[in-house]
Amino acid sequence: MQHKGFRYQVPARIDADTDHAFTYRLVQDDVAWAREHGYGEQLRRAFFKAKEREEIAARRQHMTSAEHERFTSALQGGPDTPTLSARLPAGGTVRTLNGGCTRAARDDLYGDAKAWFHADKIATNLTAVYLPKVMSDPRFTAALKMWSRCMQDMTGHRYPDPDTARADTRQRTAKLGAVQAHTLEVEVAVAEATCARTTSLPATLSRLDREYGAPVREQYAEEIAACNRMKLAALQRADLLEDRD
Amino acid sequence: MHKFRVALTATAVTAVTATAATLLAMPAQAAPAGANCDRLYQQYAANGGDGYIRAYDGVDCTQQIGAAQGDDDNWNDASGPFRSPSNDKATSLLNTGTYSGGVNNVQFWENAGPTGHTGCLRRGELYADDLRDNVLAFGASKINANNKISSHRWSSGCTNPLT
Repeated sequence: MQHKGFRYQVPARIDADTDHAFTYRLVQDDVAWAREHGYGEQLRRAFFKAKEREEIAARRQHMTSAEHERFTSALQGGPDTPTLSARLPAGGTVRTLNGGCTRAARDDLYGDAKAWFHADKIATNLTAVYLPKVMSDPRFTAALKMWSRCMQDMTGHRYPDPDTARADTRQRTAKLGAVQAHTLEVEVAVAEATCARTTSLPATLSRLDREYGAPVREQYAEEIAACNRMKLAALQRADLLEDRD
Repeated sequence: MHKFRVALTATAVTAVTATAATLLAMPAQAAPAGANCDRLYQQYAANGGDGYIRAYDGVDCTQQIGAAQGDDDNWNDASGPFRSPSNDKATSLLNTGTYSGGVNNVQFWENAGPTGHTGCLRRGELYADDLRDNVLAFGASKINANNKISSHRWSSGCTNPLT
């Protein structure tokens, strides 16, 4: 971007707690985290506030529409930018633009942007292939039932699964003030995590993930290896580039 | 016009449900090019993105029903960026979120809450120009994604990508 006359700052990655709050889990089992952050709703709200501030600041840096167009075409390519596409292992084809400095950076880091996109999309979308089997396995449904009974003992509410507990909590906290809302959220989140631990729901999930996931990972071993190889090479290459700058 | 589209959709839903298994096994078949989605994507994704997720009643990003920079756990109420009657209407989606430190994918859900079947649109992976070609998933259960979405949340991960 610099060679094309633009300043481009690489934005910082979010911190670990915010990342936790934005990561979907079938079941939450970190009691200590739940005790401090509940389901992470406060962290989510703080994140959106910061996002809004940044976008207002960005809008203040006025660019003419011609400048805008030049910036965009430098960053990601113009209107006729070619796309990369990859077929997902559980079905469907995803695409991404592959032009401008984005393409140059991908080629520079991964060696072959097309091969990387293909390997990465396969390696990171394998769960969908076997999750249906995990979730209909009697060992999973039995553990979930035990979790549900534990939740009823701890909270007095009947929740068939964690999604339902979270949704109900959100609805109940919506009518409360900030402090009370957080207290209630923590209470249910701690119960979810405690019940997960006592009923070994997470352990059951890990076991079934190994059992049903292993043959799928075997089937796509080549793509997984290629993805890991290219990511590692990209990290080493990025280190070199950083030293050079 | 609207009625006609609804009737058309109903037929498509039946067809897709009946052949869901075959559909999943079919070779890669790009959806018909979403010319309007393409144009809007170019416009909103310029400059690294405008930070919004948008949903449309029509195919190919036509008839916008809402746009949000944050979450909306209920598209069927009178608050938040998506309000009644945007519930169970979305037929195409466009994600032009910013990098935002890594929180830039959007998870969509069948029910307010959110609960139920789910699907996701990742940043940088363009748009879903026709949800009739997509499914929302919940464990082993899958439903056609068209006219089903009732809530959304931004996410760092992405479960069941919509295409």
